[in-house]
Amino acid sequence: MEIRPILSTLMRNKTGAILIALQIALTMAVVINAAFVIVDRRNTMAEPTGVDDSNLILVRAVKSDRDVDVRSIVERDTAALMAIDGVQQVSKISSVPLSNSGSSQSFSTSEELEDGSWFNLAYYRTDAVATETLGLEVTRGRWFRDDEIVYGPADGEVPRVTILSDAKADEVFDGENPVGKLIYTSRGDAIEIIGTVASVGRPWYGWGELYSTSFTPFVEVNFLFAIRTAPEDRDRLIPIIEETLVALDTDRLVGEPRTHSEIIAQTYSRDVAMNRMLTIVMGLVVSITALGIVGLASFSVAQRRRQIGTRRAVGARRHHILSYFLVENWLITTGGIVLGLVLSFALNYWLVTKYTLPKLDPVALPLVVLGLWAVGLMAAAGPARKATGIDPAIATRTV
Amino acid sequence: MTAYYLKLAWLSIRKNPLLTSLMIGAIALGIGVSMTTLTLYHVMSSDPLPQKSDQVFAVMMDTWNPDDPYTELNDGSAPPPQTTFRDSMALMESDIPTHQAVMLHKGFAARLDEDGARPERLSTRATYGDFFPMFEVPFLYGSGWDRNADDRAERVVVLSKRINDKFFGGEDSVGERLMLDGTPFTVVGVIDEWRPVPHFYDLNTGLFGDSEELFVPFQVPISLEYYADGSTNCWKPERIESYQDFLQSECVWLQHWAQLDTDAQREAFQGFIDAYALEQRKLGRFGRPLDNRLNDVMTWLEFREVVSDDNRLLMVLAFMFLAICLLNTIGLMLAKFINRAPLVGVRRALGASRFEIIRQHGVEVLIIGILGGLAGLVLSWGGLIAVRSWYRGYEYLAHLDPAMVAWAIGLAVLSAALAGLYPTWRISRIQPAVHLKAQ
Amino acid sequence: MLDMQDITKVYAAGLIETHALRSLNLEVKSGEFVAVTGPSGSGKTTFLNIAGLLESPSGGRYLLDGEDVSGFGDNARSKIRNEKIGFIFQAFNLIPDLNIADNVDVPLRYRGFSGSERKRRIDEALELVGLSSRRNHLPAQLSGGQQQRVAIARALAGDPALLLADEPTGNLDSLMARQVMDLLEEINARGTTIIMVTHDPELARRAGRNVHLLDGQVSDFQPLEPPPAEADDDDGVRSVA
Repeated sequence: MEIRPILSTLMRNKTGAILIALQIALTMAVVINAAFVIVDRRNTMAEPTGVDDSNLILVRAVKSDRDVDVRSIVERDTAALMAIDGVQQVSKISSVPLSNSGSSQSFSTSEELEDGSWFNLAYYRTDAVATETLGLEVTRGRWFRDDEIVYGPADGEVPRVTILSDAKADEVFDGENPVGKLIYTSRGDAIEIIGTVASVGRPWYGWGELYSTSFTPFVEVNFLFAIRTAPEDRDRLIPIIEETLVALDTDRLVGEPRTHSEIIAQTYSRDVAMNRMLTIVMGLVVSITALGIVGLASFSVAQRRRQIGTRRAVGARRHHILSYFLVENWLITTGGIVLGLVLSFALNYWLVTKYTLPKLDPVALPLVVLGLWAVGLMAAAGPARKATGIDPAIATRTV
Repeated sequence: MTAYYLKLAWLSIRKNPLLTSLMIGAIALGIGVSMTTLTLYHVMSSDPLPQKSDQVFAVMMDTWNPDDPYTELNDGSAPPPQTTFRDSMALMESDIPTHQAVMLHKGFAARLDEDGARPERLSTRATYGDFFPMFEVPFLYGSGWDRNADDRAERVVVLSKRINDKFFGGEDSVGERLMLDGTPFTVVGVIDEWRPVPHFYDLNTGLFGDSEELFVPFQVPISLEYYADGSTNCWKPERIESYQDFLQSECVWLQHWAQLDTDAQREAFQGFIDAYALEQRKLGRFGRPLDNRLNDVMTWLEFREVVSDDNRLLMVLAFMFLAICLLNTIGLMLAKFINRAPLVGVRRALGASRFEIIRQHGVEVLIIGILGGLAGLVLSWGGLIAVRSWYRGYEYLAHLDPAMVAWAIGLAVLSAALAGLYPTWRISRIQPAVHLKAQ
Repeated sequence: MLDMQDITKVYAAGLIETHALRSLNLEVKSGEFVAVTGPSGSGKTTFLNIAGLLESPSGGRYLLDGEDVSGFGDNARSKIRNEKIGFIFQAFNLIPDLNIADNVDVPLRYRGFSGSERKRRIDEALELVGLSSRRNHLPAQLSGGQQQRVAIARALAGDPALLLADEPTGNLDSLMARQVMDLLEEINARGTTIIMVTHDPELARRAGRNVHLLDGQVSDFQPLEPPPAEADDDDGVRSVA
């Protein structure tokens, strides 16, 4: 198939071709940039929290009275919850990954505070059985012993040991074994690192370093209950847990127990919604453009019925006609794609400078180009096949 | 003549129902998608205090770390958005502002009587009595409290309508008693429905959440030695072993608002704050370059980036989508009109001026635009229902109000007019003679 | 009625100029029935387009009804077409989506007549061409001859001073062609000036006067003898444009 005559015909009927090419260019810019945001969000949401999210139920029971014996209340509550058939382990914990509430503190690697390098650690305060409850893997050293747990509010008593996430420990100590090393608070208190765990995510979404986390042996009466169950028991246990906690002390405010997965889903709900909207916009953009190609190709076939008939009359075969229209459409699509490349990068550049969006990764470009070619050809195929059905006799008809 | 053109347009639409529905559909989709995102944007960027948002100011003081600016936001050199207790208390001494209120958010356990049912945890704002007149909170019964109640940390409470309905059956409950965290409080007022969107005065409790159920004097939780349920940020390594230590610390955890009606008032208050900051420098505080700000409501919302990048990106993509839909419609309309060139040639020969041809096709374009706009409205309505179900806390917003409906129709007609401009111009310029010979 | 003086028409396509009319001079008196003949490419169509104000001449003066219309703009020309000129085309050029009455109505709409005035004129014109009973039919439901009669009704409804017919019987068989020619003669007899372009000498003989175009000019050479009183026009009226 010779391209030159098709091109020269195109040049004489520019408007339709330009409109389709512009649509394809804009479609490409929208699809590529939307896809990048979607992939970026997906990657973020796929970051593991390091905690067995789906088998964890969390609930808070708040007591406004402060003058209580924390230890006895915690032990009473824990015993009651452990007595429920199906509950595997119960811990008290200050917060959980991606719950968007938590605490962090700065530490120095040196006793001479001015000399050391400072780093920020989010800290989860919890008890001696939290490894089992949360499904943590101790990679070096050990987890807290029962006698290390401080029950608050403890007048001035501060835990003297901590456990770090692997990723942060390796970063701070250059891969050296951190067990036994000391870090210092801004008040100059020395804290000993007694172990590390497979990295656990930060409590906040989008704030702080992902795995810059640690654990502290400290328990408060108003901390969350973290309750581990078997998957099949989880939903059944939620109301029972709530009733049990209410029955223990009617003066307390017992929140609604929720699974950790639910809490994470809520944290990510905006991203999920954003991805849904972007996906819908992408789908609509491609369909609208495809329909536009179908419409204009049909029109162009209808307008050239006589010309097609004449071609057929002088010996063009059906596949000549078919390939003529497909090649014509491919040329237009390709023109649009070239323009679209420029537009995509321009839009991305603008979005990157104006907003905090990922920079375009050219790896996926060939995929989008192939996709658009396919969409263009599929959309043009129908009208082109219709053109092959035009009767050669039309050429000799007058009216 | 317009009636005649309406008839011709109807004939034309009926003749090519598929092509016409494709055009209407393209406009409708473009409008639907862009109106959905525009409504979201409109809500997020709306003024929660339209009567006086330029007279009400968020107070910010740069008490942050001299070596390291407060960097939670893009603008690294900005002061923290919340204040310390000691600085806010010092500013409350000033009588320059018309109204001034420090506030915090906290949950209280509420029940009707000591031996009543399980207590319910209610979202509570602890603030000064000035809160109500400053934010023009509407009262159903009673009123707020005065400065004496503030100073003495009186156990008084203002209820939301929902809570008054729940605990007091919607009756005038002023003077009644409510137990909060085990202590009796006297009801002094009940407010009517009040839900500023965005929840501008404290953005920590969700941008678009409900407003609080209870309001109590600021000094109540302070006297109970309560911390806030919100964000507390501290930078300074300092020994905090008691509540008093915390109150005197550099931790920022309070929201501070002031109403300043005139420029003179604003300048005076700014001067007051700066003078205070310079005074504090002598005590070794305010180590950063002097940067104390009074941001009015809209500047504050912009500073806090209430309209997220996601919203803006969606807007950009939605309007690109609309552009694609328009290009599509231009193509289809051009095809349709050019197809009709011989008939237009006949009309021209029979004496139709170019203007009449433009009118004829313009009427058709507008009908397509209006139909597309109406279909687009239905789509945006559906789109907003979807958005509300996908985002938590959006239940009360993202509704089409009459202004947005007008916008949608206007945008649709404008879009159709834009799309129809070139095809209509082209068809009005055809050479009639060319099309009159045997077809 | 119509007076063309030194009319020229040049079509420029890129660098090539085509002279469709070279210094054409023609006067047609009120009430005349003139047939313009000539071979393909002689300028017949261009002449008709200029006479009908569908195109402007490149040079010369064109007086219509005593008024110099050669320099008129698009709007003024539209108005004159609407009020003073009726067109009859070889391909009828009826609007397929409109019924017969609505087709006749088209020029009246642009004229701005009241509803009752338009109805009166439509009725009268359809009466004249004998198609009153078909007023609600669509063009496709009529025969070619009937369609051309509708086109004539449409041309006449506005009471034009000048009727321009371009091969009016070109798409018709001989019987229908004769009916259409009879109708045109009848209209001419009632005082309407008619200029008919045809390349068919048989048809031209029925006109009062023949003008022969050759190479864009009125030719002095008359190729045919004046017709006998009873012209045999059974042949040659079917032709392909």
